[in-house]
Amino acid sequence: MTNSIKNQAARLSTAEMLGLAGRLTAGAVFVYAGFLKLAAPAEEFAYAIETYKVMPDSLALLAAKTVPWGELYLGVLLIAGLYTRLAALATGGLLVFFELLLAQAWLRGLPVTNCGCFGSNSSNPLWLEFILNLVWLGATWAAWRYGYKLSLDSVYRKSQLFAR
Amino acid sequence: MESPLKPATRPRRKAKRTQCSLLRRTYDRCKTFRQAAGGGSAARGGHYSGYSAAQDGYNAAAPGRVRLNFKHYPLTGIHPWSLTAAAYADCAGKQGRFWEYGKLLFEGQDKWGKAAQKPAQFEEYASSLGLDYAELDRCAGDPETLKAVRLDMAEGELKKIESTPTFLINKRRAVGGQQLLKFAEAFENLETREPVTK
Repeated sequence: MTNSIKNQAARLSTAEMLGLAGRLTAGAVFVYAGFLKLAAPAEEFAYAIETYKVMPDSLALLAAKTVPWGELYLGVLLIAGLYTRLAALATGGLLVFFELLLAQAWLRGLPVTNCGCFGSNSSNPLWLEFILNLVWLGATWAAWRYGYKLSLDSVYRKSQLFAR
Repeated sequence: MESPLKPATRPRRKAKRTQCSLLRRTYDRCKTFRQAAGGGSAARGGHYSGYSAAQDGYNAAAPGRVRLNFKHYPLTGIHPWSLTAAAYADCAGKQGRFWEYGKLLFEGQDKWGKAAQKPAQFEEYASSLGLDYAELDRCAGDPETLKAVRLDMAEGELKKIESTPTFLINKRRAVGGQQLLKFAEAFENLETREPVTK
């Protein structure tokens, strides 16, 4: 098994290395973001959501309780390479949604003092978060397009082939 | 239940017969808090009138049944004068004008919040309230005063406070004016179900 992974790693093309790096990067970012939010009271993240003024306040707390779990699960799936393409697609969709949130807040000049991206303790300006999200989006695209190698998906597929 | 970390000199609005405890945690350089206090622009004021309700309206609606404990949480990393302002407010409290001085700080924060040097507004507000500024200044520099503010901050960190204003109402949390408004709407139920002390 270990030798197989070593052999696979040695044979990775540039694109596949990019895919692996993208998968691990996007996954780590989502695990980190989800963990920070889950470690803090949900009301803190709900407060950040409220400042975007895109949903009824009554839904903000519900979103604050569910979104971090989604981020955490997607991050773990990406890192492990399980349902890789589906996880990358969902992660990309979530990132596009975050971009739209940031853009509308920026354009409307909303007083968003904390984007809520990585908990409430620290926050970059909206434009910087927008650019960072583009980077994560690029990493997610690489994971979707080339992230198959060294994934649990590839291990599972090989085991299925051997079983035949 | 009263906090063991509560400084002895902090003024409070305390009811004789307390059923609900509202603990407000803020710092004196917070735009959001100013909005929550009802001091925002007209467009935002409607959304953020929650604090006014907390500070005055609750007592009016449920006289004698609300206890309000104020705790500082200056975010010194982004607002350099917030800790000093909190100390001045506490010292104004020793002269019996904590709430009034705090109100002036919130209303005038755009003037002093980003000052390069010690803001003249601290003295200006003291004069307008007829406070002894020399004593106020001495008190604000007293290590004991600063220690009390830092104890508030430490308590806030223990309670995982990250944003201001945060309101802890019978141990339930509301962050910002919007969430406080929800509490205000459900206040009668909250008060009935979860009395703290009698």
